[in-house]
Amino acid sequence: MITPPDVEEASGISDEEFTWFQDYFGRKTGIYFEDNKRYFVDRRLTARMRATGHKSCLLYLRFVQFQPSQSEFQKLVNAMTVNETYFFREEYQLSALVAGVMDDVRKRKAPGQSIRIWSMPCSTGEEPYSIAIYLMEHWPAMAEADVEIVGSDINSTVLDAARDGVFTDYALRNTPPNIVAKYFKKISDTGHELLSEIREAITFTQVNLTNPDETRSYRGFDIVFCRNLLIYFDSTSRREAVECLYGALNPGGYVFLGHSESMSRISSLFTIARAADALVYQKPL
Amino acid sequence: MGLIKRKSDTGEKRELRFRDRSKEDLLAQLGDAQAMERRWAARDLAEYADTTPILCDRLETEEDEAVRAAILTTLLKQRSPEIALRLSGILGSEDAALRSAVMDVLADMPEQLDSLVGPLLRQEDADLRIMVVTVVARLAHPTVPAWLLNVAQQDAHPNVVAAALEGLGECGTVEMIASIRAVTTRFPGNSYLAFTADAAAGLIGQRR
Amino acid sequence: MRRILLVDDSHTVRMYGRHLLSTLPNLEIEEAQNGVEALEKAIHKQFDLLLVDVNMPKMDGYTLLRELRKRPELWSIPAIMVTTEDKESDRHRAYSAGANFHLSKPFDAEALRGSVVLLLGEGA
Repeated sequence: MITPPDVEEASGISDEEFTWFQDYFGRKTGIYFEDNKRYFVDRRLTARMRATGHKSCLLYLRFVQFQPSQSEFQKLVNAMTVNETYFFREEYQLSALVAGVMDDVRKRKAPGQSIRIWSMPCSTGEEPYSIAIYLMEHWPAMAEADVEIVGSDINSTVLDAARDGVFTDYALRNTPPNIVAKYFKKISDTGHELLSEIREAITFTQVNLTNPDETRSYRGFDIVFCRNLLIYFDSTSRREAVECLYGALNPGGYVFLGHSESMSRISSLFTIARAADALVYQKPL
Repeated sequence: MGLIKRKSDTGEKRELRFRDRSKEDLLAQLGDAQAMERRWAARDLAEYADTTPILCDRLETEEDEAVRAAILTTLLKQRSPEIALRLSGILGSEDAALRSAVMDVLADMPEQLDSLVGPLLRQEDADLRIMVVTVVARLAHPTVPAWLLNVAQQDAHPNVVAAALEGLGECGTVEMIASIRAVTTRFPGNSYLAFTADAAAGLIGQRR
Repeated sequence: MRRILLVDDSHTVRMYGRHLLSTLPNLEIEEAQNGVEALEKAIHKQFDLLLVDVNMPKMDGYTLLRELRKRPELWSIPAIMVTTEDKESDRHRAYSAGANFHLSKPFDAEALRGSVVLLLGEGA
């Protein structure tokens, strides 16, 4: 994005306005910007003010607060959140998976029944592949249990990339070197290709989580990772997405949300449980 | 063993099966003994706008939380002034969980609620007025501050006024500060109202 | 140091509760805006007392209490239910849901402080 040279001409953001934004945005999304993120916030707020023709930050924030469609709020969320993915992101949740969630799910499975995990959105595959590798490395019962992982996204381009399974150093920056060596093959200066056994074992599908016609066949899952997606929806779509997640899960099934997300602004359909350091949401039995 | 790729029918669009059920089938399913069946019926009735009255009726007697949530999501998708009116009637329910769920959805229907706010704020029951004020305070609608100020200045019941002042703390404007402070003179000796007016004025002042 | 969780969707009511309780020593006060958030916090951290409003988004106060009482690690936390009226039926419902005590809004300063001291004392 090219910044116009006179972007600073819109009135600067005062400390009070920044504080109000911090509080308002935090209450609505769970994301609190620390004071040291001031520059980051100011630039993006100013850009949205320009885009909507507001010279005053105060008036812009009031506009955001009272616009019935809330479309500007959604744009603000998009502007303020950086959606990056890499291997073993929010690893404490993967620990929680092997610390109790998988075992709890397994208790309710009949012999021969597989444990089904859904990664949605899966983007370029880092999340479902991370889950697979983590389970293979850290879940003792992995050898005896059958685990099926499905990765879905609304965007077909990222799905193609996911199926290719080639990743950069940057995507692997949080991955221990021994894991990289064990599961990836360096195929170029910048590319690490995931072993084909794992690539081929994951099912990748395209789906829009807010469209019930598309999601109705997604059922019988035991665990869903739906991280940092719900925040981008308006309230109606978010309700629809949560209904879909609920319907997709078996009784006793689990949902993992993103680090700063909470069901507290969304729904009381799920019960809350603690697994190791993570809060997980469970569909009632 | 371990990671497997099972061939399941995940991802296949099941439009055919969906279309097999007619509106009448779905309405019948809405009364099924199984909660899961009722839930799917509630979701699939979203495209039939004329089913609103039946869905609202069902909402009032449905005890399963997941079915209720599905009905409310459908009503929110259908959204109409008629739905807003029916739902605001349900605010009088004895069931706190139902009231809470209905308030959540009403708060997401600012345009449909617009013309109802005035009459709803004139209802006789103070508890109902408090709930309406609470919903209004959560609405994304430019008239919210004015509605709340009006309640603070006019409503006879101190708890209703308090609820309006609480809302103004979040969305009031600097121009309203004097009027907000003046509200305490309507109920002299009410320390909670004095605190609330003061807090509202303070919160607004912090945002200038 | 005793930890109290104030559960109410109104920022002002939470402020008022804090203000009234500020005269009591050794109290750490946290807040939650609705029943779901309250449960999340209670699961994550230990509280000695909950002050719970009835009418809240996502999960009302009675449901919150019933959820708390279902959980082995949380079932015995003292809880004061807060309603907007002081009817007999409100008290009855509060106690049936698992409240240890019941107060009406707006808080009477002495009633609030007195009941908090009483319930925290029982936890000693």
